[in-house]
Amino acid sequence: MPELKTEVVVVGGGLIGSSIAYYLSERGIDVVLLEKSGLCLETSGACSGMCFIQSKKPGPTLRLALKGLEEYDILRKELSYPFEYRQTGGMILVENNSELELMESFVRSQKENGLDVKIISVKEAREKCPSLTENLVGTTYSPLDCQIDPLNLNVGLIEGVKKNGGTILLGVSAEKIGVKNGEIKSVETNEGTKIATDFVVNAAGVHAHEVGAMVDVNVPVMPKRGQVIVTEKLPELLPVPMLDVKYIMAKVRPSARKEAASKPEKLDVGLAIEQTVAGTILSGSTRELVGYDTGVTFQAMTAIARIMLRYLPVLENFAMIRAFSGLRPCTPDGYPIIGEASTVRRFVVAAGHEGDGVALAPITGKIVSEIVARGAPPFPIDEFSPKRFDGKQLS
Amino acid sequence: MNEGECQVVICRCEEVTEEEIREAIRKGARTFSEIKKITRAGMGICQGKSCQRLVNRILAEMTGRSVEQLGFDTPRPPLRPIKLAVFKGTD
Repeated sequence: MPELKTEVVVVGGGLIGSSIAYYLSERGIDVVLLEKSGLCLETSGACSGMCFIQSKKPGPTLRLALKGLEEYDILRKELSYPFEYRQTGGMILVENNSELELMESFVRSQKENGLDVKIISVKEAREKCPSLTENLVGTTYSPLDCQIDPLNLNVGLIEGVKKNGGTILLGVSAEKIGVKNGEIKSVETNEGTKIATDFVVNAAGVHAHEVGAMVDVNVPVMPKRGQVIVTEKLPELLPVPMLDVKYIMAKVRPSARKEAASKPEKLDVGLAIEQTVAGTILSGSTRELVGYDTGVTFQAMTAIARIMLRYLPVLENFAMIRAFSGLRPCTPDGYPIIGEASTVRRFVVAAGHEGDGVALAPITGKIVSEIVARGAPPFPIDEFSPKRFDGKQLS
Repeated sequence: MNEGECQVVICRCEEVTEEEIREAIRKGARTFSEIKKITRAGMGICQGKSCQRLVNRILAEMTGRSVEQLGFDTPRPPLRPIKLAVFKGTD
């Protein structure tokens, strides 16, 4: 059996895993990254480039995203591979007065958590984006929201790992994880290679549950599908990426999470729209519990197209060229799982970021690299600890 | 391989050259889908109808597989571009 020796095996080569491997390699820590599929072929290859801080649930996730923004500012200067980082600001569109009431309360919570955000008039919103419909009662605006190209970021982080001497194994998966005396010892791959290692990082996204099971650690991450429409290249119509209140409520309202579970055929459509540097417009989104099915449906394409046209009627004469879908890795409580497992020393989980992976990838990389290098995260992350799921069923 | 060959445009819609395709394969891409994500080849208006065969020939040559062994990019609707107005209707 071929043998390798390293300090950290990172399982998963999407944005989270590649970010962790990059931050580790930057510190001179030996790392082997296992990606069972290929470059940008799973969740991180099927998302949009929106890096919305406004959409994070007020509380620990929002505070983490704000730290994440600072980390992005550092990363974009240090990573030599460009990833189209733009701080455009962002808007959440409000259609009626009951939505306005919800958003006024939401904005208050966001401000309490340190976010620079306010509600602006339809007139001001249309000055920022003239294509916007007049049929709104207002929008939110934060100058902090960003857009990136997640594909270039993922590839750039992986190239960075290689430049720093780390090893990237594509098409290779972890099959067994060796534990002795309650601590990590080794990983065996599907190719029969045994890797002696000090740490294993579970960054396996929608497959994190399976990797957790290899060491009897409960990592309850489930896939939630989101469908996206892509348009032809267009002149600049959307200077600012946008969400709507339905999107926010589908994401953060506790009752919405329970409803989604009980009605799996519900699409839970909300607006999530951005224009890329290339000029195409990407618009979603749905929230569907359909297992690992990455198909697209006519029903969803229709719902997404109609929501696009409701807010941006000028789009009706432009063409859609593709639909695709991706699987968000979701946890039962909507918070990511970041931290060392309680029952297996040096098994670190970093998974379950749902729709917040783009915003939280660099800061997750930094946190895990500190856990490995210094034995503790750079700031308290107890709310995200994997220990909260010990002894519970996958729900 | 001479310089003239590498400047050949493989994906006309996104203007991706042969050299960029080869560079993506050197980065570890083993499928059209990965090359697409790295270079944008196949993301244009024809969605790979012109370039997928050409990219696969380069892939086959560089990775020692036959074109038959290589997969295709996930087939997705629409078959050709359709105006968003087509989806309008009563909610």
